[in-house]
Amino acid sequence: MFQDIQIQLESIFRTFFRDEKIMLLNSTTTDDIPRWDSLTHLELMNQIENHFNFEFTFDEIISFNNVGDLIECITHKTTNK
Amino acid sequence: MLFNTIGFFIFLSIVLIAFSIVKDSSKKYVLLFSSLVFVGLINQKALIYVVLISWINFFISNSIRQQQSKFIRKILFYLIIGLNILTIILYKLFESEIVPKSVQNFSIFFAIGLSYYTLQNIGFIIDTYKNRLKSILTFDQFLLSNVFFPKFIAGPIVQIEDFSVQLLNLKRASVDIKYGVQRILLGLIKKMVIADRLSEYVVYNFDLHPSFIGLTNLTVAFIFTLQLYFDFSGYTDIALGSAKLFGIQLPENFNFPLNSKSITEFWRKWHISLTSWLSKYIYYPLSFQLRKQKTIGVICSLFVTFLFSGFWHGLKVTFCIYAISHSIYLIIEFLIGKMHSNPLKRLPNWLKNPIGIIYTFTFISFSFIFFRSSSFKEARSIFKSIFNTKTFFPENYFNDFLAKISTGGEQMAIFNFGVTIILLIYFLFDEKRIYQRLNAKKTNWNFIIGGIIILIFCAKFVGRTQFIYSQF
Repeated sequence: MFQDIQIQLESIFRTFFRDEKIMLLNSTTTDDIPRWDSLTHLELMNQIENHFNFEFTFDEIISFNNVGDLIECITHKTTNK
Repeated sequence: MLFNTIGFFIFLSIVLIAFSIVKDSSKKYVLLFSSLVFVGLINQKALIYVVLISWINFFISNSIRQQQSKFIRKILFYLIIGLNILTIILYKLFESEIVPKSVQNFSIFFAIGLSYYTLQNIGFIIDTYKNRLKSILTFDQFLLSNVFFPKFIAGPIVQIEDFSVQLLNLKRASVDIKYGVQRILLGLIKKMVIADRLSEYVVYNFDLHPSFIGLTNLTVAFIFTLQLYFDFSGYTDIALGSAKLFGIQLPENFNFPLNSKSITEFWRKWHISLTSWLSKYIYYPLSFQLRKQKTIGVICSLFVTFLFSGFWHGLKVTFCIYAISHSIYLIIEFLIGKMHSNPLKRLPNWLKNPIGIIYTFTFISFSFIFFRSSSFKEARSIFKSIFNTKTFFPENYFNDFLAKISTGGEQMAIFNFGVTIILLIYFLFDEKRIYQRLNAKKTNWNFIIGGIIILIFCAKFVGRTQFIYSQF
């Protein structure tokens, strides 16, 4: 399931940042993707929420240190729906 | 007690000796006692105030944590946040031109450190209220987070819980003299050889002999940007190096911001501890509430965050304009980034990168004109000269430009200016490698000996200035 979410997330990232070359690893951070910063972060999270049909809490959004944390949270939320 | 004085290093040495001698469980108290002495030596009012406000914040945060009633928790939360914000507003009011000088004399506040530890306290209260904290702190840990002398004067702003956790693990083994000494030396060179020398040219051309020549004013704006960076990053180096002598890691404040290729990148790398605080406690909460408004939500949140940042620096029109100008730059870059066909993306990197660096440096220098100016009128006349094609170029290049940039032509002054410029260029091109060598945790004797020689012969010892960010 983790890998399935990673593939879906990669597609969301590629569409949002208009960059087909984006490859997500668990260790990927905002330093690795040029336009991923505080200005685009929440809009990106909104896209992810719409895709997976849930809402992040504020504390969840500010707690992610890398893509691995994000995937873990999404897995937890989709499993417990 | 300025960081760039003999007195500070004598004090630091005494504290280090005491820290090394006592047993591990007592090391925290050595730091606390010495920090209280440090603050008291600066000003006794500041000492009484910081101890009192720390106790109030600690007591209320504990009450919030233990309180079962949601209603009472909320009341306590808003009361203590209101008190902290009122403190900053009153302090900034007393320091501004709004309040007459006769009233300013009655100020109970003393400048040093207040803006920094108040933000720390606000962050701690918010985290307590939101149940984000993982540990329960003692008062001595909380107080030391606010008064810790390497960072008391001008930050970096820390997360109180993260800092306090380090206090539980103070050991002789975690002391890093090699790194600490080298980092302090780096900071002293940046401050006393580069920043203080550049400040001579800024003061001469900005304050003492303001010019109507655009090229002169533009050059001084660029020099001030460099002065500000080396002054503040030099302070940060001394703060982090001093803390590391006791095995304490403070957060970095800079990540080579002058190499930024956009204003967005600049704000990821400049005064990082402040921008992290602003992001976590203002920008993200606001933009989270407004996230359904998408682009408009981001723009509003950005604007409010920067406005707060402007007022944090001071209740002056110039700081407000400085802050607003940055929010406008960021909004424009954000909107350009959203464009489907962004022409800038098609440029090759060898062209895009230098253009980006020049554009970023120029625009932040423009905003720093407001930061530096004592009034809007002064800033306006500087801008008028820069954008007036008739008076941009000097009639006599040597007399009207070069002589004005130099300060009189004495041989020693020219030699020291030359050393400053050489070091400045070296730092601008190779600063990253300097820090990589520092972080490799080896003793670099060439650097230590060379650094001491440069300091002895080229540092500005007479007419030392305080650190720019200690005034906030």
